[in-house]
Amino acid sequence: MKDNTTKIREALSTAYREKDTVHTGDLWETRVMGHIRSLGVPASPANFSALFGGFVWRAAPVACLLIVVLSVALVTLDYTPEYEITATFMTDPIEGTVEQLWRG
Amino acid sequence: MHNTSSKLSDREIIQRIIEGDADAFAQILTKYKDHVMGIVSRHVPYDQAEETAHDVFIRAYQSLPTFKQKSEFRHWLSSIAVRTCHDFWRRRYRSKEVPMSSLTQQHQEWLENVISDTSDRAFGEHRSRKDAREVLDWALAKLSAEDRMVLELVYLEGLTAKEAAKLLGWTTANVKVRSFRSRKKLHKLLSGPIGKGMIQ
Repeated sequence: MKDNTTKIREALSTAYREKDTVHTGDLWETRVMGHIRSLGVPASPANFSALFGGFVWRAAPVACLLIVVLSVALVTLDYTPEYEITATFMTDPIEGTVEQLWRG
Repeated sequence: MHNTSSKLSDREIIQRIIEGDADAFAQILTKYKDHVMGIVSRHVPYDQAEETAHDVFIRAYQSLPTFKQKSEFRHWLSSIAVRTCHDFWRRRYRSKEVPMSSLTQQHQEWLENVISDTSDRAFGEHRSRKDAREVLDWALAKLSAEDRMVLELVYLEGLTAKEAAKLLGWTTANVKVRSFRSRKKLHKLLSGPIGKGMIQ
């Protein structure tokens, strides 16, 4: 013997399955195709990894060039940033370093 | 020309559409309109089925470039159809367009008859399509769009949680939890008119 929930489920499932299916005509098909044609070619989704990859490779030569230029500049200009920083805090920075500044 | 193109496989037709031949979509439409209409007719009201099926094919057309050729097109389209129906109900509930009818004495009698009958034969005789459909519509209107879709797919159509999850694009665990809760809600709703304890 079936319990109440099974009976209810069977009755409702039958009602659900017996629901009339709508049949479309030529007019509906023509309307959908008209809408489809107005949309044009479906657009491919944006591939972010490909976009990123392209950007990285395009920027690579510029990055390499920048590294070379900065390296050459550092060697030729004999720039000592530590001296410059110390000079802003000490009147006689010749013997001083940034490390000494922090130590007090 | 038409005979030759009608022999093309789904994959070949899709390729042609992606390459710019929008007219090739007519073959997809003719081939799958009954399948889509079958799904949509079960989930949305009769007078909204054509419009919803229209939306399904528009969404399918726009999503064609994302279709993975490894999967079957029919399943992919079914998934779009079910999700479009889900969206339909979400919109409906949000705009509060879902009719909140009440159960009549006739509906309550139908429920009582279904429960009181002990033999399958008598049970079959008592089944009134119209009453059953109205009771079902009344109960479904009181659930959320998510509960409604899960209940229809799992409880009424008899799909497994995994199959329903694939169609809805949810996790299987989510479908199982929602299915359990929505079934409880449905039984609670139906036990109201005919007395507590009748449906557990």
